[in-house]
Amino acid sequence: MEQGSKKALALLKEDELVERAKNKDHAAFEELVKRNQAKIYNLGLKLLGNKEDAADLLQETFINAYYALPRFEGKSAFSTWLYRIATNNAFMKMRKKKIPLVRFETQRSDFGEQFSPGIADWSNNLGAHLRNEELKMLIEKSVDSLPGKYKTIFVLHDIEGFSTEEISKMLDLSVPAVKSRIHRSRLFLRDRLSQYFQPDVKQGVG
Amino acid sequence: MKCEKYLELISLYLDGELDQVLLDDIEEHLSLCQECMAFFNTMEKTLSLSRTYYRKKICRVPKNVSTRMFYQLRIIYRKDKG
Repeated sequence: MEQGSKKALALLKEDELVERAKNKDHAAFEELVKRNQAKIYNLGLKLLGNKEDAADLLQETFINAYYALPRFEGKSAFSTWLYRIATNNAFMKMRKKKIPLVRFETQRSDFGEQFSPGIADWSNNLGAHLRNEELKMLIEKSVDSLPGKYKTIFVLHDIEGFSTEEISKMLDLSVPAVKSRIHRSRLFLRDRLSQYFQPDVKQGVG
Repeated sequence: MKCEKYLELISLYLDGELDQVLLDDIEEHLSLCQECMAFFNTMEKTLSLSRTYYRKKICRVPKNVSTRMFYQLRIIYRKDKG
């Protein structure tokens, strides 16, 4: 591949690259890979929690995408379509590792669904900022302990900024189901952080 | 409505998805109920901390990982041809 045409590819819009890639223009496909690889790798890090699995997820996602490309109809953005492939691959990896996809593993089944008096407002607590290394670890551990599908929906919606409609299409789930899982994930995370800030107060709820 | 009912709506409220009637209702309740307000504040804080934490943590794809992927793709192109 000549330098000149590589440069030209970098200037093309995504849908033009997709069209070329569909016609077996490998350089165009690789330009799409280059533009999207960091997104998929970082999604893998968040969903699977380690670099090895994120690297595998990245590779599998683009290999699957290469084979599935003739069936991509352009109804969503190319990157959204990639996320769909990547999340399916992530679920498969989670299943292999026996990570629960929908079941919460916690003795506290009541995180936030019922209300109790005496709930503490720690939002202005001195430690409630990201210079607090302990808190950073807790956030990561808490997100990581969400069941796989909840974690995925939380990451896609609250971190990556996808809409509930987009997630519903990505995961073949109804919009109300997506919203309910977002809500439950948030309740779970709030409860975890509340236990850290107010360990003696009965948190939330019950 | 009881506090529990408002808490069920808190995500929709945070995402700006409540209709005007429920919106007025929940905002009035939050202004009167200290505990629901505490719940709301800590929920909002949880989300902003998580969001900021993960957005700051974005990594580059390691060179060797990217190289390995492109190598694999090229093997597949050859298979696909033949």
